[in-house]
Formats: sequence, C-alpha cells, structure tokens
Amino acid sequence: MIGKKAFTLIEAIVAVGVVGMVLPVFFSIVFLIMRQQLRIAAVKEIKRQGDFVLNNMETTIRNCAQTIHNYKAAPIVSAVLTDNNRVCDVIHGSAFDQTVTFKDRFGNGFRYIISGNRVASDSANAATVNLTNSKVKVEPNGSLPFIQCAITNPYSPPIVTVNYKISYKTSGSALESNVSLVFQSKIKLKSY
Amino acid sequence: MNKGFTLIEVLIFATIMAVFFVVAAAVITLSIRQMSAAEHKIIATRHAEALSEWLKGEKEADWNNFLSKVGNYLPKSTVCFNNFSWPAQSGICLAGDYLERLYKRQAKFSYSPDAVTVEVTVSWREGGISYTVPVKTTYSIWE
Repeated sequence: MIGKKAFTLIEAIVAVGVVGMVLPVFFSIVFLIMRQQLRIAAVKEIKRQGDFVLNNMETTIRNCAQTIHNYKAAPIVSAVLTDNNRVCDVIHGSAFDQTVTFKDRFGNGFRYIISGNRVASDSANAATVNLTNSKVKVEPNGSLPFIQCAITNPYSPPIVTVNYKISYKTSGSALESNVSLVFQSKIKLKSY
Repeated sequence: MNKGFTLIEVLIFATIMAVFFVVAAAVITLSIRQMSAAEHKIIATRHAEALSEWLKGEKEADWNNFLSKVGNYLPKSTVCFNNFSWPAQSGICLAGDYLERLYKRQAKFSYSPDAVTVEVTVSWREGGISYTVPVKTTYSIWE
C-alpha cells in the first residue's frame, strides 16, 4: 500500500487553481508599485534638471550679461559683438525673440541654446557645456521661443524671458514616465 | 488512515495566513498611496515655484504695476492663481480653478512700503488626506 501516499488528481488541480489565482494578483501589485516608482523617478529627474538649468541661466544672465546681441554664428567670436548687432536696447529695438548672445563686462560672449533636445551653455572662451543629460528632453514651450528679450522703458535694463518644457525621454510609449514640466522666468540684467 | 490534519491545526494555519494577508494588503495600500502623494508633491512644488517665478518676473518688469495689482487684493488677500495672469479679484480657488483638476494654488500677499511678501500655497486632497506645499518669497524694490 505504499503507492497510496500521493496527491489525488482533484487535489493537484485545486492547488494549481489556487496558485493560478493568487500569482496574477501578486504580480499585478508588484507591477503597479514598480510603475509608480518609475514615474516618481522620472518626475524627480526632470524637476532636478529643469531647476538646475533655470538657476544656472538666472544667475549667469542676471549677474554677468551686460549687453544683448543678435548673433547666431558658432563658435562665438567676442570681437563681432558690437553696437551694430545689439538688440533690446533703446536704439536697436525693444523686443527680440531669437537666438541671442550676451556680452559680459570683460567683453566675452556667451549664450544658451537648445541643441539636440539638450540645453547647452556656449561661451567665447570655454567649450560648449551641456546642462542637461540624455535622460531628459528639453524643447521650447509651445510656440514661445526659448529665450527672448524686451525693454519696457528706456531707463530700465532689458528683461530676458526664458521659457522651456522638459520631459522624460521614453524609449516607447511607456505611460509611467510620460511626464513633462514647464519652466519660465524673467531675468532683469543687473550690470546693464 | 488517520494521517490528515486536525481541525485545530487547519484553523491555526488559516488564522496565521489571514493575519499575514491583511497586514500585507494594508502595507501595500499605504505604500501605493504614499508614492502617489510623493509624485504629486514634486509637481505641486513646481506649480508653487512657477507662480513665484512669474510674480518675480512681474515685479522685475514693472514695480509700480506690481504694487498696484497687489494693492487690489488687500486687505482680504488670498488670491487664486490658476494661470499666469492677475485675477480680477481676491478669493479662494473654486472647484473649476484647480490646476490639473487637483491642485489649489493660492497666494497670500502682505505689504510693506518697499517689499511685498507672498506666501504661495499649493494644496490638494487625495485618499482623504490634505497635503500642502508652501513657498514664501519676499519681493523688494531694491533687488
């Protein structure tokens, strides 16, 4: 009678059925938690990089920029930044909404551009530095330009407006990391 | 043929399993709730900072205009900002003013002759709990 010590077919089917019901529930919960974690990581990352870019641009432009020039060519040649291509001052027009180059009080040119979905800082006497990494995608916010400047009255310094949208780069149509944040700020030149 | 479990054994086992599953379910629910709150908190912080940056921009563009706009809301000074423009009058956010249908973004202004202090509060409710993200900034004419 040794052969009698086994599970019957019914017992085995019931056991497999119970396991088959519990496992999908368990894994769907695990999946839900992991998706939520990915989303948080994505939001954190775009917030961190967006804040960094905004702080960097605000500090540098506010404190260092003295004049604004309509100059797009790369690399930047400081000697070309003259009164002839100045924008957003009393003589040369009140508003400008394309790529601009700033000049600091030592006569060096610098600017910020979006190239290849990354924000880069470019300067006449240093190599181009990317301010965001390849995990995120930076683009202009709708139809608004990345950088524009305006002068509201002849006696006050020009105001530079920065506007961009930063989103998490996803490989496919992964909903969990489909997040974006908009950053915008106005910067008044201090040493104008 | 007496080799099965006794009723007591089965009951003890079932009780232990039940306690385990209840605790596990509670922990999972709590952690999912907290993660969702953590995500909303990051976005709420951005909404608060965005308003504070916009106000700073308004102040940099034209101090007198900024003062007169703020003056409109005093003394009852809580204002609902659901976009980047000056609301016509003060008042708390109503149901239709919620950002992304979730966040209430309100600002409270206080005023001294050459400085305006703004407390931006972004608040939302989820899972029966209220969350708040406050950002306080002082805007001064001398800066």
